[in-house]
Amino acid sequence: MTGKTPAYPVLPDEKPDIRLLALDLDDSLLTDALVITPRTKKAIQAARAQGVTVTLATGRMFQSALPYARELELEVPLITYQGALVCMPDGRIISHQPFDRQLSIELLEFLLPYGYQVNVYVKDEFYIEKSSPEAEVYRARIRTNFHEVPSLTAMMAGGSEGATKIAVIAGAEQIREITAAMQERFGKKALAVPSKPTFLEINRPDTGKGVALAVMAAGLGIERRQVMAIGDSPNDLDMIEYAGWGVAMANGEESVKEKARWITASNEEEGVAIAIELLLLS
Amino acid sequence: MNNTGKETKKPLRLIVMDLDNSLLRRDKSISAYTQSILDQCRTNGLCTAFATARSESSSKRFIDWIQPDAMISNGGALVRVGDRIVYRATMSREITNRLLQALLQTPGIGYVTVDTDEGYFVNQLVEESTPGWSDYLPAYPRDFAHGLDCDAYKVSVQLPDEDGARAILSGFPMIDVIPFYGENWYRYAAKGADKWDGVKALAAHLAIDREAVVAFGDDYSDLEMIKQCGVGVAVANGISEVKMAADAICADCDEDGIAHWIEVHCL
Repeated sequence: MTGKTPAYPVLPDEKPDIRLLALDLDDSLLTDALVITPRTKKAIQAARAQGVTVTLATGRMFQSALPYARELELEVPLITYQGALVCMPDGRIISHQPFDRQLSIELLEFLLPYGYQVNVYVKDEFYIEKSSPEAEVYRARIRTNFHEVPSLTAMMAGGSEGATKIAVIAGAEQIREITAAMQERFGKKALAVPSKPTFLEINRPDTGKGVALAVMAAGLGIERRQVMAIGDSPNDLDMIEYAGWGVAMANGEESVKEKARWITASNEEEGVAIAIELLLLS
Repeated sequence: MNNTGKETKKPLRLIVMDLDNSLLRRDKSISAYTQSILDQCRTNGLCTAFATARSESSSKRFIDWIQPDAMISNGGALVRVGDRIVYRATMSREITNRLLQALLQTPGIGYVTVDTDEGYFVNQLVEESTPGWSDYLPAYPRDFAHGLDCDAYKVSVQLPDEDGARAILSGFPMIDVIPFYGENWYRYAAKGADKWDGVKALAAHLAIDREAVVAFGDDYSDLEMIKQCGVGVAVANGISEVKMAADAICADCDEDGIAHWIEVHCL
């Protein structure tokens, strides 16, 4: 902890005036057991009763985020795939920004030889070449099935669309290595950010939770200073920096805490509920 | 506008607009509707200004078309109100020539162009029919190894990557470089020659507070003025950084985004 960013239970000096609240899912809104606690649900509903628009901003697939959106009865655009797919809970697409097919193929030709687990997401489905323990753990966590194909490159070449995102699952050191290699090979043509130390997310460069949230706020006539975003991972950094009130979870990475305006309790201690109760509710 | 908080509700008095992919549609046209909105601004006593990376001469047809009250050109290095120069931040002849020598030796260098009061110079012959160049002609081919005789508003070049473009700055602490998104073009100019510097000078000249200025843009060169002006507005086709820095996002440049925003908020 930096000692500069105020952290729960110390309150910030100012009380925010929030109209839009974006919540990351894994390790933020969700406990380690992947549930939204009753207290958290109550806090969210109280915020909405006060007129705050609440949404989810996740790297997850839309179909994997949807059960939580339904549980919270959200009727607003959901930011999924780190912003590459913004979708209403009823499935209506607000914006979809996949890679073009040619670049998707180039990315696969670069990534597959490493031999790590590679997931390719087209529209809102996910495809792998061969299952692995990592893929099984991931599938169980997000509760969405994958499609196994003989060749991801052939599938992409024969398809009509590029990838919504591409993910690589490997050890932390391997992910660091491949992130650096991606930067060198693709530079600004692809955005490669780990959402967890062992999970690399590869998105189109003009996507991101931050810009998706900025567009949502602008569309609602909400100013940046009236936006709060809560997250824990590097793929939350852009929305935490964008939002007038960026809040980091106590369990979050140091790099995220440093950029936040306040640090709430951990996801296991209902940090999102605490942030809402202390900073939002009157 | 700062995001820590105080809302500012000062009426807007100066409208600053980037040209390419902001006020201009992608085909470089300005719709009749946009024109009429900018005419109404004049009738209502609102000051309008272009803030463009282009030179004055390459902006001429837009200046003639819209007749803005002020012109911030060369990315902020020159500001003019009517005939009067309000601000000018050039790279000296000596520094410009040193920069040109460094660029010519950079691997992968393509076009090297220089905007000066004496004309627009290029390191290669540009055929009149070359697409995208028509506004920028005449472009005088010059052998930069012999150096130029005047100071420069900006040097714009084609380079394969940003690292190479930035590496050159180590020998030039008085110069900044800004990339053009999605292209391999980079613009070198003196520090203090950013669009925001131009806006500050213009606002001071017009005795308009920065809180009463709205700036519209899409790209890196617009980032600072969008952050610093009273209201910063990104066009929907703008880059992510600009959208996240802006107070508002208006519609796409092909949908008259700027004009619609002005109609709702200023007229």
